[in-house]
Parts: sequence; C-alpha cells; structure tokens
Amino acid sequence: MELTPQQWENVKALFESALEKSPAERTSFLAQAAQDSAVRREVERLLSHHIDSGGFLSKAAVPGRSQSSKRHSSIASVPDQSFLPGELVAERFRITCFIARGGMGEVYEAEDIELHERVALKAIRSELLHDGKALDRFKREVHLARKVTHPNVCRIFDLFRQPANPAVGPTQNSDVFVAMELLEGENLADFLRRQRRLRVSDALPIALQMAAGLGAAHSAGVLHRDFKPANVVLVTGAKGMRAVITDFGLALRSSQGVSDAASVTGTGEVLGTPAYMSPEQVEGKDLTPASDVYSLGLVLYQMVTGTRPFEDSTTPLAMAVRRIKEDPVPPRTLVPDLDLRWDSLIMQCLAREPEVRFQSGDEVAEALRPETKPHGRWSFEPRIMLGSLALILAIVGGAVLIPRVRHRAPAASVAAAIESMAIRSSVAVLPFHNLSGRSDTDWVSTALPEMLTAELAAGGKLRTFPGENIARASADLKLTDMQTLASDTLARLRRYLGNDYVVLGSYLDHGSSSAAQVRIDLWLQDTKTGEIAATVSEKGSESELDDLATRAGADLRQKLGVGEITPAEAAVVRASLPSGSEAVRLYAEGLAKLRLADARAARDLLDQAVAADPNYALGHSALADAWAALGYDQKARQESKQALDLSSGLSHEKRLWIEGKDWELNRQWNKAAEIYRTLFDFFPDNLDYGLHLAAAQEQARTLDEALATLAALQNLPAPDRDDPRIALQQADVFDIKGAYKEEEAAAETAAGRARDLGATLLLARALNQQARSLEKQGKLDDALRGAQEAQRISEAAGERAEVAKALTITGIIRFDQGNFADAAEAYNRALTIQRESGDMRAAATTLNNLANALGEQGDLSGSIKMLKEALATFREVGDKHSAAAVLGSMAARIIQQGDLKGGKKMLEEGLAASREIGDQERTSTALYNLGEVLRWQGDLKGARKTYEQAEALSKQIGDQSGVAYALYSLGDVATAEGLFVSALDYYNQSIALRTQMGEKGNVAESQMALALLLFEEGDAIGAESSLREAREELRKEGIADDEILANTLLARILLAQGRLADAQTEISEVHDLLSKSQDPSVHLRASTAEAQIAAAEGRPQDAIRFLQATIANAKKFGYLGYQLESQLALAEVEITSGRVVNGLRVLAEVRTQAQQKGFQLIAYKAARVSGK
Amino acid sequence: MCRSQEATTMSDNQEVTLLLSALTRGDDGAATKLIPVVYDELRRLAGSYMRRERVDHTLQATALVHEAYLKLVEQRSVDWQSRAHFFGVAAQLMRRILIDHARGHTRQKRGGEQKKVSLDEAFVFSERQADELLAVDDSLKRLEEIDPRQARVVELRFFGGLSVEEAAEVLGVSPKTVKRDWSVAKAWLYADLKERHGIDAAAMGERQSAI
Repeated sequence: MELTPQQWENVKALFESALEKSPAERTSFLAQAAQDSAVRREVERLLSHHIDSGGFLSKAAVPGRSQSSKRHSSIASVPDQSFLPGELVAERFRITCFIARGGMGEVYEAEDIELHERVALKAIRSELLHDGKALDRFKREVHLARKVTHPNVCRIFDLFRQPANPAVGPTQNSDVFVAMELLEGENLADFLRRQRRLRVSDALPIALQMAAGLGAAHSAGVLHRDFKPANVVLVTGAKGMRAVITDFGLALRSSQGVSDAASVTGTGEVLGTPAYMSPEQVEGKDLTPASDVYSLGLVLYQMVTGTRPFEDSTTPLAMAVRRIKEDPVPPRTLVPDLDLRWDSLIMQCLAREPEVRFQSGDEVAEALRPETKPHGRWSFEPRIMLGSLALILAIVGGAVLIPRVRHRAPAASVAAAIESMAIRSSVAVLPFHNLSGRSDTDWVSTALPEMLTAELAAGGKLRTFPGENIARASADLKLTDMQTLASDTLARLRRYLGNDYVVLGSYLDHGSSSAAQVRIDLWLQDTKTGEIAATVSEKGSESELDDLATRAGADLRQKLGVGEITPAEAAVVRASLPSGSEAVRLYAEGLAKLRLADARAARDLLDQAVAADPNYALGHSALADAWAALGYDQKARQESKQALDLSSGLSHEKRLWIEGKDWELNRQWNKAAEIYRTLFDFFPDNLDYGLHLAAAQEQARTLDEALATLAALQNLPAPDRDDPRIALQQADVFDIKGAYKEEEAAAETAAGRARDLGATLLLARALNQQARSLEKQGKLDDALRGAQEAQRISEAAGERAEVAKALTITGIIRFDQGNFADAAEAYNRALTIQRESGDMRAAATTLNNLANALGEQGDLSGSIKMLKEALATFREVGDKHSAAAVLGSMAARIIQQGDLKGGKKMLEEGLAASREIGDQERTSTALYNLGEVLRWQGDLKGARKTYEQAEALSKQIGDQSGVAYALYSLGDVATAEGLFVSALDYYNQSIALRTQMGEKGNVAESQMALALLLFEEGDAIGAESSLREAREELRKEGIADDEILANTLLARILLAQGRLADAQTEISEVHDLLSKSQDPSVHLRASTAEAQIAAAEGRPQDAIRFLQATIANAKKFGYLGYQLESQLALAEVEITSGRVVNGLRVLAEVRTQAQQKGFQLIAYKAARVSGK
Repeated sequence: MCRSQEATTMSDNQEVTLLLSALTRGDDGAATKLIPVVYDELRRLAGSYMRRERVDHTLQATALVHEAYLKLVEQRSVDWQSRAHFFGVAAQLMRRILIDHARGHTRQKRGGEQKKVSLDEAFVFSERQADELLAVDDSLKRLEEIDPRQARVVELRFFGGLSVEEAAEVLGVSPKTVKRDWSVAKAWLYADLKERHGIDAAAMGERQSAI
C-alpha cells in the first residue's frame, strides 16, 4: 500500500501531534484527527515503533572489527537484562526500559509510582554488596552523595531494597537500587569517540562544568572515586549544553588498591576504571579531592589532545601503573597550538604528588575561567625574581646548582619558565670606537666591551648579549664607529636585539707601551626614548684596562639602579678575564676575528692567547669554537675539555654554557639539551639559551620537544619572539621530520623577518634553507632561483660560508636534474671557498658530493679519488661518523668498478669504524652490504651469517626497512642453496614488511625474486605474469638496475617456454637500458641471457663466444654464482651444438664447484643437463 | 628506500577549503569537484586506519569522516556552515564505502567469485553486521522514494555523525524540521526493518540516556 505525497504529509503532521499527547490519549486523538484510514494505520504503525526506536541509529554507523565492539556494532542483539519493561521493582518503580549496563550493574529508565516521576534506576549487582559491611559503607556514601545538589551533578534520590522473594531466592542478581535523576543525552565518552579532539573553546564549557560539579561535591565532603568520560552526560537543553556528572560516590571503595579494584567479575568486566585512576588510587592509598582532580586532568587531556597519556600501553592497567612512575608528555607536545594555560593547568592536575595538584574541583574551575589572571597555585612554581635567584647562586659559588624545574617535562618547563619569568633590563655594549685610528690598538675596541659586559652581567640583575650577536647586529645595521645613535637607528637596534639600553664608547690609546694612557668615554643610551641616560669618562693605563672597566662598570650599574658588585661577584668577573695584558690583547683580537667568521686567523690568535694565559677557561672555549668552525672536532673537543676543567672560578651561567657546548662537541645531544634547559629555566628571557636548547633537542631527534620549545619561544616578549632564528630553527626541525612544506613556510617566515631587520646573514641562511626545502619537494626551478638569490646576498655581505652553502645546494639541484657536469662545477666552486676559509669538514662534505656527481657521470676512478680525499679530511678533523659514511660510498664505487675484493676490504673497514663509534644503523647497513659481497663471491654460508647479523641488528634498532632488505637477501641465499621453502618464507616476510612500509619499488624487487623462484619450481606461466607486474612497478619507480634484471629474467623465462620472438623483444630492451646500470652483476646476468638467445637463434658460435667472455669477466670480478650460471649455460650450448665432450667437461666442473660451494640449485640443474 | 609521503598536501587543503566556501554560497558545481577528493581521502584513511593494529579498536565511520575533515580542510579559515557541508558530502560517501564493502563481504561469503578486495579488507564485518547494514541501506532507499529529505537526514546523522543543527545547515531547513524528520524517519525505518527484513533494531544503537 503506497501513500500519496499528500497522505504522507498528513502522516508526518499527525505523528508529531500524537507524540505530544500521552500514550493514553493517542488513540482517541487519532480516531478523531485522522479520517483517512490509510493515514491512521501508518501513524499507528510508526507510533508503535517510536518508543523502541529511541536509541536506534543514535550511534552512527560503526563497523566493528572484533568481539570487543559487539555492543556498538550489532543491530539486533538483545541484552540479557534482569528486569523487563512493566516489572515493578522495590515496590515503587515500574521499569520502562533498559538503558545500559555498567560495571556495577544495570541501569533502567523507570517510573516512580509514588511520585509519578521518571527516574533512572540503578540495580547494583548483589555480589558487590555481599556482606553487611560493604552494604553499610555503600549506604553511607549514598546518603552523603544525596546532599549534593548542583546543576552539574546528577541528583541521587535514594537507595531502595527489593524485599526478599522466597520464590526467587537470595541469589537474585540485584536487590539494592539507587534512584537517580534521569538524564537524556550523550555521555562524554561517546562524544569524544565521535569528536576525537576538541578545540579549547569547545572544551572550556564542558571542563568548567565538570570542575564545578566536582567542586560542589568536594565541598560536601564527597569524592567521586571513579570520574571518567562515561560518567559525564551532556544534556542539551533550552539553555545550551549541560554537563552532568553521574555516579558520585557510587564507586565501590577498595582499600586494597588496584589489584582489588580491578578485579575481574564473573562476566569479565573490570570493576573501577584504572584508565582514569590517580596514582594513589592505583596504589591503594588514601584518596582526597586531589584524586578526583587527577582523573579530571586525564579527561581534560583527552579532550584537547584526543588521546590519554601512556595510551600506547597494552592494557588500561599497565597505563595506570605507568602513571605512578612517569610524568606524562605535556599535551602541548601533541597539540603545539594548545593554549599555554591549558597545558600547564592539565600538567598541574596530573602531578604525581597529590599535594602539588589543585586541591579541589573549584580550584580547577577557578583556574580554567578565562578571566582568571595567573596567580597562586595557577603558575607551576612560586614566582622567583630571577635576578635575585641568580644573585644567590653567584654568592653560593661552588655549590651545586639545582634547577628549579628538573622534574618537569621539557616543553612544559620552557613554556612555564617563560610564563613565570621576570623580565630584566637588558644592555648591549657595542664595540668601541678607536679615536686614535692606530690599528695596533684596535683590540681595545673588543676587549673593553667584553670586560664591561662582564661587569654589568655580574649578579645577573641585568641581561647582556653575547658578543657574536652584537657583532652581527653592528655589521647588519652598519653601526661601526658611531658615538651616539639617531632615534631610527636605535629603534632598529632595539628591534634587532631587543635591548633596553645600549652602551657606546670611544677610546684614545697612545700606544702599547705599558705606561700608555687610555681614556675612555661612554654613553649609556635608552633605546626606547633615545635619551642619554649617562655619560662616563675614565682614564687609566693600558695595562690596567680591567680596572678601568670596573670603574666604568660601577658607574653604569649605579645609573641603571642595579647596585654594586659584591666581592664574591668581583672574583667571578676577574675569572672571566684573561690575566696579563698580552693575553687580554690576543684574546680580544681572536674574538674579533672569530666574529668576522675568519676562523683560521682566530684560531692562531687564540692559540697564542691560551699560551699567554694557559689557565683562562674562556680562552680555551673560544679556541674550541674556532676549531669547530674549521671543522676540527677532535681539536675542538680537546680545547673544550680544558675550558671545562678550568671553569670552576666562572659564574655558574658561564660554566653551564661551556658544559653545554662541550656535550654538543661530543655529540651527546640529550646531555647538551639538559644543560641548555637548565640555563633557560634560570634565564627564560635569554633567547640564545632557548635556541640552543631547541637545536640540541633537534640533534637528539626529540623533534616534537624541539618544536614545543620553539613554539614556547614565540611567547617571549617582542622583539625576541619575532627573531628570525626561531623560524629558521623550526625550518630545520621540519627538514629532519621530512615535512618540507612546513620547512618551506618556516624558512619563508624567517627570510621575511630577517629582511625586516636587515639581518643579511640570517636572510641568506633562510633563503638557503628555503631553497633546500623546495629542492626536496622537487620544485627544482624555484629552488634554483632561491639558491641563486642566497648566493647573491651572501656574496654582497661577504658571508663566504653561506655562498658555499648556496653553491652546494645549486649542485644538489643540478644533480637532481641529471645535469652532473653543472653539479660538479657548482661543487667545485663551493670547494674552493671552503678550502680558502679553512672549513675542512664542509670541504670534505663537498668532496663527497662531488664524488657522487662524478660517479653518476661514469667517472668511477675520479669519484673514488674524491672520496679518498674526503675520507682523509674527515679523518684529519676527527669526524668519525662522516668517515664511516664515506667508507661505505667508496666500497660501493669500488665494487661498481668490478673490484669485489677491494670493495669488501673497504666495507670491512667501514664496518669496524661504524662499530667503534657505536653507530648501529650504519653498522647494520655495512653488514648487509658485506653480505651481498660474500654472496656474490660465492661464500653462501658467510653471506647468510652476515645477513642474519644485519637482520638482528636492524630489528634491535627498529629499522624495519633494514630487516626487509636482510630477509630478501636471505631468500636469495636460500634459493641458491636450493632451499625453496625457506626462500619462499623469506621473500614473503620481506614483501609483507615492505608493503607495510609502502616501499613499492622494494616490494616489486621482492616479487621479482619470488617470480624467479616460481620459475625454478617449474611454474613458468605464473612466473611470467608476476614478473611483468613487478616490472611495471619498477619502471614506475625508476629503479634501473631492477628493471633491467626483470627484463633479463623475463627473456630467460620466455625462452624456456620456447617463445623466442618474445624473448628477443625483452633482450633488446635490456640492450637499450644496460648503459644505465653500473652494477657488474646486472651486466653479467644480462649477457648470459643474451648469449642463450643467440644460441636459440641458431648462432651457437656467437653464444659460446659471449659466454666465454662473460665467464672471464665473472672470474675477473670474482662473482662465483654468476660465473657458475654462465658456465652452465655454456655447457648447455656446447652440448646442444654438438660439442658434447667439451660440454660435459664444463658441466662436470660446474657440478663439482657448485656442490663444494653449496650452490645446490646450480648443481642440481647441472645434474639434470648431464642426465639428458 | 624512503617511505611514501602523506597523500594530502597543503594545496589540497586550500582547494577543499575553497570548494567548501563555494558550496556554502550555493555553488552546486563545487560538490562535484569535492566528491573525488573526499572519497579518496576517506578510502585512504579507512585503509590506514585498520593497519594501526591497536587493541580494542573500533572503526567508526564518523571518526573517519572527522579525520578526513581535519586532513583536508584548513580549519582556521572555515566556518561551521562549511564544516557541516563537508560532513554532508562525506556522509554520502561514507555510506557508499560502507555499503560497497558490506556488499562485497556478503558476495564473498555466499561463494561468489573470490574477488580481491584491497581497501575494503579494512572493514571487518561480521556476517550479521553486513546483512544488517545492507538492510538499513535498502530501507533507506525505500524511504528516499517516499520522503527524500528524511532519508537525507538519516544519511547525514547516521553515516556522517552530524548534529541536528549541522544537518539543518546542509539541508537548508530549520533544526526543528530536522528533528521532526529524524523522529519520523527513525520510526519508519525501524518498522520497515522489522517488517520486511525481520530485523529487530532495538539494539542497533544504545539508548542515549545513559547513566
């Protein structure tokens, strides 16, 4: 019976009206209102299904994958429930329908027949209240919970009991009921399952209401004990959404801790919810409101990140246990743009010690409120004026420095440090102007500002700037030789450095005799107002320059209102200066050179400076910098160690700084990060520390932490937050992450900011970085333009290292374009610059690149020569990691040249080097490659052992790709050994892994091997089709070697099927492609197949000639396996072409050798041929 | 041997965002362009979703739709109306993906040719679930003939997980109308499933009033 549209409209209208009536009224209403019987029947039909359909479809489509999701996914399962609709319970409630089942029992919608009210009725499972004590306790809780009346707490009406029913007996499922407010809405757990992650603006109203609800209960002395998303119902009402907490105090208490609370009930459900338990609850300790706060923290964490801390644990229980031992990752690490306040608020809720948390729901609500200013408990730590803290530390002297925030996770600490920081006044001391113009007194221009800076920095009340930053600013803003600064220049400087004051000065020095008099004039200028805050003039002898600086410094300190230096601080200042005027001069001159990026001259001068004062820690440290700039790691490490050993007199800040750099030089990035984090915690207004922290985190490959740190730095006060170096560092992290789009965007931001500041070096760096990111995205034309611009700007600014970098990038782009000649030219130009400026490591890297370009051009010996040079250089500068890498490249080239033995030797050397430096990834790669060589040489056993080692190591370090390679080659060994079942297994495993990782080309490679196996087993047709498939993929991926191999194998398989013409087509393709491959093994196999086809074409003489040449080559290069294959082919051709005696002789030889070496497959084939 | 890059790029992102705003302005052509992008992403996500072998994992159509949204749309520059339209398109596609798969599943089970299902192995249905889903789809098609808008409401809410307000935005009607349609459609579908397919759908979703 179809309804007309008009009838259907009537049905809808009547259905709606009927719903507004009570069920009893509906029949008479319909009888009256619906004249059309078809319409009436349809409305009745719909009405009859309406109640049941209430929850139908309310869960969006959910295909489940296992039994565990059956609850959500099955349309038609009817749960076993204890009470049926219409049943009267506890003599007062008539069951309307079943709602849900939880750990404690079942929940029904019911009608209270005394009060005529709809309620939710919770039937408590009787085994939970097995004894009188448990029941009494439960009663007390319920009566306490009854007192809580709050819009965000589900009202509990009362507890009821079912009178004993002798017919049913005492074992009835439930006889205790709790009547509660009936709530209609989705619970938060389902809501989150749907939404996954909420924005703060969406999370806030829910969070506030939950906190307020908990707060109300806490005030009434009630704890929730089982707060979790499933216990929060979101009720949509006229006044918007209401979040209501249910089951207050109903959680059955367990004083025995988690083992009891998590006990599994008869139905396999877990009582209590370890997933949201506080650590103290897991441990079975006493609970306080702070325990609920912890659970709330977990819920908030989940709301804003979409995941819970330690979500990767295998079970909720394991997750709960980890919460006792570990701090969670701050939510901002997962959601970098998360509001800082939320991040620290959540972390405070999740503190492991209850007393550190907020103490009640109300405190959380208070802190959540947007208008709340951070105060009291809100900030993580009591706010300490950093100046005075640093002062205390300086006085304490040699005492151990205990970072305030050691226990906190890194990102939170950075963010919190910035949030709680007290901003100090900052002073930049510019290089002094040399009035005499005598170049032999130029050093004073650097020395005096160094000394003065030390005076001003003493006690930590003022912020000063590293000399290199000031040198950079002076050069970029062209501030040299100015006595006072015009207001626009001041503004630019302020924007560049972020300094409140600048000290400018000039000096007149009449020569370097010890009696020479020096006069200095200083101006202290306010960078905001341009006002000259002070002028200072001092006179003294050159040999007592430090006294002069002390006096001038004292004057300035007074003007800046930071008070006098204490004797202890004065001692620290003295330790930060060299002893002896000669050392002072040399050190100053060395620093000046270092800042001009003339590392070679700096090294020579600083070398002399530390000779003049061997106990001067900062001298050794600067010398370490110079060596590092030249690429000499070993020397740099030696100097750095000296600096560290001599640093005890320095301020703690300086000592930490030296220590951080020392860890960096030793590639202990985690340690370095720890030091910089400490420094930044103490001096959160020091951007340089923050940047070093991020850089160390990046190097330690804790990339998300690095990004979190950088995100936090963007909350620094202007202008630091806009410093181009932040974006530049971000770009670098993105590069390592492989997020090249993001890298490009960050580099562009950095370039824009650098341009605004007029910071040319940074601009050049940013452009280079951007070019690099474009190159990686394959936008080669844009990349090239970028690199060229970077080159132009760097050249104009005289930044030679950046010029070389731009040229290197140009070379890489040319290489990508397949233009190897131009690539080599660009590399050569970069190399010249790097050699001139003495940056040996950069030069060695370029040599390596150059070698690649030559190698691709086919100039193997030229390539190897370059690599040898690179190797020697890396060894000279003590860069063992790069040396190990070069050894690997060299081995590959040598093998390409056909020198298997030489390649093997090189690989063994590389393996030893990688092992020595503990580089496991490189070790496993070297092992794998060594396995390849052994296999080619015919040492199947050795190869297998080596592959197995590579596999084990790759597994250990989680390098799945490496595991797949090893498995694939183990398959090859097994094939050669005639162990087809094992081979099949290996290949399948490698295919599974490679598929999982999306390595399409490699999957095809494994499939090709599998096809060959099929062929050897006699399934030529199957082999052919799967080979063709694999070849298509290899072609797409552009892997030439494998594509040639696929063609070669196809030709062989076709020939075996007698399809000569098809085989000829394949082999002619091989012919065309062969020039693309430099792999001797590919050539050997191809020419064997070619010869076989020649034989089939009726040209046995040609075939024999080819094969003899191939065999000779295989012998020369040392490829035993392919040699045997060619010999077998030769024997076959000879026998079929009538030279039977010769053929049989070769065959016998092949058989014997194959058997000896374990090439069972060839031995078997040889036996088969002689059998014929 | 590097891993393949994420399929979605920033420009996809912007493109989808632009298309959405065109759709919100009433440009129906935009939907035609949007569909393949969203469809690909949904299928890709569905495929990768199940490969993350996590314990106690359920694949939820709406979660997929939501994730596709996060991936494809520049959220900062999108208002809630555009969001609703995205979900509207995605709901339709999700229904298609689910039903296609459920169909493939039953075909295989009933001894049809052993066809390779690549992505669709991602969805692991029980026999009954597949049957039930097909039944819902079938009933929904019948409802479409009687009242297309009601059917669309079901599609948006059931397959797309849209709220009443969002569904109203997509359909250009008031939330009240959506509520009414939803209520009638549910009752109608429920009845149809029971009478024509013998399916008691009471447990298809949980009661929402959960405590």
